[in-house]
Order: sequence, then C-alpha cells, then structure tokens
Amino acid sequence: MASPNDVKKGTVINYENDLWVVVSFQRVSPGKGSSFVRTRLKSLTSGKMVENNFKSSDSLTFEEVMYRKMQYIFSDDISLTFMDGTTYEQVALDRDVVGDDAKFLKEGLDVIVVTHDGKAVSMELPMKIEYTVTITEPASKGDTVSGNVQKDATVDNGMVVRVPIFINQGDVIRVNTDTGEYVERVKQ
Amino acid sequence: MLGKEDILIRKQRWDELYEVIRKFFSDRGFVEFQTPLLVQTPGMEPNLDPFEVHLNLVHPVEQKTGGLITSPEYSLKKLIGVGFSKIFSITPVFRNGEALGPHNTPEFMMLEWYAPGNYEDMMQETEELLNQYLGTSDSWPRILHENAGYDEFGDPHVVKEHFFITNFPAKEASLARLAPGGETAERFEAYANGLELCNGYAELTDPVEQRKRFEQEQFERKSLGKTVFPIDEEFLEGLGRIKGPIYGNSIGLDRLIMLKYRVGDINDIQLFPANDRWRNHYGITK
Repeated sequence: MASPNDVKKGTVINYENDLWVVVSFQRVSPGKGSSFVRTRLKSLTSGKMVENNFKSSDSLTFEEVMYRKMQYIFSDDISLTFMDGTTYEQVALDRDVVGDDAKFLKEGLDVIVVTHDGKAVSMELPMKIEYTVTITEPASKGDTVSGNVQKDATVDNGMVVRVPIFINQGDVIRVNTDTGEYVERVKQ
Repeated sequence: MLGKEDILIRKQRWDELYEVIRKFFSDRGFVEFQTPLLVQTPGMEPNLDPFEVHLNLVHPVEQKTGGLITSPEYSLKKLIGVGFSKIFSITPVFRNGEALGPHNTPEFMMLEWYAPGNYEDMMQETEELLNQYLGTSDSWPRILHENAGYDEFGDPHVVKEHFFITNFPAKEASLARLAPGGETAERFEAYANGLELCNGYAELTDPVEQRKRFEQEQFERKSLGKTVFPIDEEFLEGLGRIKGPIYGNSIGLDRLIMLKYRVGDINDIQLFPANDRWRNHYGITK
C-alpha cells in the first residue's frame, strides 16, 4: 500500500475494481481540515475521466508500471504511434486515451509512454514544448510592448497559440502543455 | 532564463498591480510598511510548514531556531499595538511542504492590510480593491459557509465564477473574532476560478483568548511531529493595546495577476519562475 502523497502523473492505481492512471494531481493543505491530494484519473479500461480527492492518510494500491521515453512518429484518425529510439519498437495509443494532449504533438517529440503489463496505457508530455512560429502578423506601428496585447501565431505543428506582439515569424517559443499558453521566447 | 521582452511584459504586470494597490490604499489614508522576513516565530498554524532556519551566533557561540514568515501578520499587528491604525504591506512570504505546481510556489507575494472597522467594511473594501485592479464593477456574492456545500476536503462547491465565503464555523476561527452568539467566526475567503485568493478576519484582539489558541496550535504541531515555535510575547502584548475592532485581510498577488490575465500557471507570471529555479517539472521526469 502507498500514500496518496506519493502519487505522480502517470501513476497507475487500483481503485474501486478498476485501474486508473493519474492524469494530474495537486497536493492541498487547506486552511482547515487535513491535507489531501486532488487527482484527475483516467480509467484504463473505459477511458472515463473522474476527479477524486484522497486524504493524505488514506492508503492506495499502486500498480507496477514502466515509463519509457519514446518519440512521436505519426498518427491516423484512430491512434497515435510512438517509437523507442533505441530498439525502434513501436507502440500505438488510441486518440481518445490521449485526448486533448494530441494537439501538442509534433514529429520527433520525446514523450513518456506509460506501460502496464506490456501494454501502453497513457502518454505524458513534457511540461513545456518548443515550437517554431510559422505564421503570424507582424506587430503594427503604434503597438507597445504591453502586458495586454496579444495576437495569434500558428506554429510548426499547425497549432494556434496566443502570443505577445513582439513575436515574429521564425521565432522559437515555449508553450505550457498544462494550460496551452505561451510561456516565453527562446533565445537563439 | 527568460529573455528581455518576456521579462518586461511580466514586470509591467507586477508594476501595474503595485501601482493600483499603492494608489488604492494611499487614497484611503493607509501607511505602507516593510516587515521582517526572518523571525523567531514564523507562524503557528498547524497546517503550515514554515521554512526553518538556524541562526548561528558567536560571542558566545549559540544557535537559535527561527524561520521565514508565512505572513506579515505578527509584525503588522505589533505596529497597530503601538498606535498605527491603517497599514498595509506588500511582501514576499514563504511556505514549505506544499506542491511546487501550477497554483503554488514556495515563495510568493502577499498584500496584507489592517484597519479599524467591522466585518462588512472589510468585505466592501476588498470588493472595491478587486474591482479596481480587475477593471470590473462586479459584486462578489456573499455565500454563508454553511450554504457553500463544502466537501470533506474543505473546498466549497459553488456554481459562481467568483464569490466570498462568509461566517465560518467557530472552530475554524483561527485569528478571527467570533460573531455575536459565538457560533460563527467573522472570517471570509474570496474564491475566483476555483482558486482561493484571500483570507480576511475581523481580528481577535483579546490576548488571553489568543494565547489559548496559540497553545492549542502548539499542542497540535507537537502531536503532528512539527517544530513548535515559541509564542511571540511581543505580539500578544501588542494585541492587548489595540483599541476598538479592527479587520485584516491578505491576498496572494501572484494569483491575482493570473486571474486578471487569464494565465493558468503561476510560473508563467513570475520573473524568476519557481519551477526553473528549483529545476522542477511536475510531469514525469523518469
């Protein structure tokens, strides 16, 4: 048995007769009451998402899982395919398992694939990913570098991100995969 | 390290916030103070883990234990005890033992203020400050704690984008005064987009009752195996000198900027993001 405080993204728990992968978690010490861990869990059998809070004093059953660094290589309408860079072994994950995170993928990106009993069960993105801006309007005269003004930028995998106006075509930017928001320009 | 343009944007957001706060309080006759960060009694609440430090002295050689403040509360109330009445501070505060994630960092900025007045004055003033900074003219609905649908984890479930939770049960009074009747405490919290923004009290100014609560907190800290800090006697003495009812409130400023600019990750508004400083990645790093 393990403590909810040891939960990480990708941890697989055996809970209420199903296997769940932890999609996100937050340890909370409220101003009152005892501390707890807030989790979003995805069922490995049905893909169903639930939110669940575990008291820090609860105990949980963790399943043995493996984390493999793999490269995203291609996708079709149903699944996404990843490759082990050393053995060239490929695994596929259903789109509905990956969910919204699929929009951040680009060819050659290193991700972590979580496997349980030899089967790929989920994928974790890096916290931040770098993209090259392929299309964006140049800043117009009179714009100032201000905290408020943003514009759309299309990046190298086709995703559209809101960016500050000083960003130009060809710039490399870092995007937060948790919020989908622009973080910073990468110095070249 | 962020580049210059990104730093500039983030700095402008902080500068704007500081300007709004300082204008808001100077228009109302408040005085600003900087208070010590490194103290012997950093905070007594059983659920908080202050950063602990060891002060090494020479002549004679001695070691003292202290910590970094979790809020400027003790210092500010001492100032009220010597006769200041409307005061505020914008200060870094420190919390250990929490997640390093999108909503929490171990060091963050806090606004804290105190003034003579009652519970309703405090909520009214907080609402005006929030509206002034956010550029809104909203009313923040007041929801009684007993109607807030708290779950067993101490989180309210209210279908509103932003709101105040008021009239906490007496056992969650903390440093707040009890309401007439003694069943609820004059404490409130503001929530926006699911995040707690502030925690305000009509302040307890009875040093005898305060000492009882501190002793209870020391007992709870001890039974949790946490460091027990000495009671700040200067604080209790000052508390006894405070005349008439006062209120106090504190707001986490990082979260306020996140709210205004719709930024989901606290690290993405900081000039020196905590995640970069601590080389932390809250995904899998294996």
